[in-house]
Amino acid sequence: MRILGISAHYHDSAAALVIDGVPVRAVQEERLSRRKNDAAFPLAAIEWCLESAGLEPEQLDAVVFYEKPMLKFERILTMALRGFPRSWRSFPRAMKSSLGEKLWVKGIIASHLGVPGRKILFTEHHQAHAAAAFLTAPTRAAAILTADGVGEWATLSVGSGAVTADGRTEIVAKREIRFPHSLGMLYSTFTAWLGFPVNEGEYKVMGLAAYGRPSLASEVRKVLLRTKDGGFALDLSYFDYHLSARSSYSAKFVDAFGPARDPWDPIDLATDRGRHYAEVAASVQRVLEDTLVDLATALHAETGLPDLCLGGGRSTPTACILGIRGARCRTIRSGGRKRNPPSSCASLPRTACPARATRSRSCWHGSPTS
Amino acid sequence: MPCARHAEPELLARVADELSAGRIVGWVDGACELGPRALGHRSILAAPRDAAMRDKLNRSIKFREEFRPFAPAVPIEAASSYFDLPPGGERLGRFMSGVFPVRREWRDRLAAVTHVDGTARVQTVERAMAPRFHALLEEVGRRTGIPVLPNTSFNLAGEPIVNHVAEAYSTFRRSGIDLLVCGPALVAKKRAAQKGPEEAVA
Repeated sequence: MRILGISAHYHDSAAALVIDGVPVRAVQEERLSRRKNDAAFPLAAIEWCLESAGLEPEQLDAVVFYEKPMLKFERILTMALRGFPRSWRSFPRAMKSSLGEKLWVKGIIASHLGVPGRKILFTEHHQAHAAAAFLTAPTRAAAILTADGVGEWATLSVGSGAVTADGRTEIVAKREIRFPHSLGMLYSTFTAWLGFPVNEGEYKVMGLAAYGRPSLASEVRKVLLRTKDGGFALDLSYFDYHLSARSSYSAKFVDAFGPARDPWDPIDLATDRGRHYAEVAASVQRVLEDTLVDLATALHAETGLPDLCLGGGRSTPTACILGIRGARCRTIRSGGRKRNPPSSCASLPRTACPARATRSRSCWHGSPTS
Repeated sequence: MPCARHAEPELLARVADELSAGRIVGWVDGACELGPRALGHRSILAAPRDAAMRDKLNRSIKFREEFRPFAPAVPIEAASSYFDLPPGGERLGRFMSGVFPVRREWRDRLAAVTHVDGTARVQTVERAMAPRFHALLEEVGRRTGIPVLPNTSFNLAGEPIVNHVAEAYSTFRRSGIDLLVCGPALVAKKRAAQKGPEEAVA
């Protein structure tokens, strides 16, 4: 079975070739195009994967894209309508990029590669992250937690994975938290406020966090509210991203944390202003870590599985995987061990995932299978 | 171009010597990595001892903020001697996916890779995953007693990690990297060209 996995149109386009369940080729488009974080359709990466493996596109059994374009389109549409009329400016732009490329990605893949549409399949964003985390872990059964900026509706999902007696892999998503309630977006918003590039500068926030104390954690907890069902919700009055793509924090956010840093202003830790940025970074880092440790601990109690696979996209994982530091790591391990996902985003589509999406008004969507 | 080819033992000995003498090495070996981390195939390497090296790397190579630390690479067998690894930490460290405390007694001697909070984003190097890089770390360990090197991705700010040798050479020419190693080939900048202002300060 020869499967080509593609990610594109969000950040860091890449292609990977999996033959009989083993990834044999994988490369990011940026390494070949020499454009950092290149998000274009990864034609050069695909060509390299196929050519170096001696394959023609028609010899592929499937081409898998890492999200369902319609779901993302639905989210953009619904959010734009909810925010109407304030959102009318961002709506045409989102629509344009969606209709222009994401929605028609199947057509793009079919025309570039000359493979028939029936061979083009889609995995959900978090399903891909969960699979990448679970399939690379040396375990036969594990709880899975994935967190991300924003993929489709789910921004955080919990579930479990198991290898069955006959060698099949089953990955089940139990519950998810939906856009706009997102740890990644929370972190990215602070990233933007701190004057770092979003989707790229998140790890700078983490680096800066070490220079401050989490003195404003209680302020951040007003932004990230914990819900009774064990999930979380953002207080949307602090944000603007669900209304417009231009700026992500609102006037209320600025009232709480002060004016945003100009990206061209150096951070001088000898000044009050510089120290304040470090304190804010430390505070959001602390709240994020506490929340993830809570969620992981609850998931451990629920599943009883000793292993935990962490997966995620690009903005939270820095915080999520690297952020659960030292002593905090032990909190989770009191019941089990923490397993690592690789840091790559490549699609590994060897999985069956019945991710049932039921819509409810509660913060956690779906229902526990236990 | 003054490019020399060396047999493996001499090459590793020369690179370890240069690293111990405080020089910065661009290291290209085999196929490139996937994802945001360089894991010993497209890496910039240096001595781990002092914070001045971290500042020099930040200023003259990566052109990035000073508060950002560099990740240490260490042979997986030796990792727990220098870092406080939780169970499973070695495995987590293979892709630099974990942040662990640097053992207190080593923090002074690993200042270039120790973050202000005493942690480091450790890469535990398995021989099978990067045999030459693993051998280089051991060679450095035989010289300095510490088989640890700061390992940062081989790219300048705003550019993707180098892929081809030509991109590696271009990056080498445009930055403060002293020595470029691509497979068996080794290129060194002439000493005179190195005496820039940052060297005078260091």
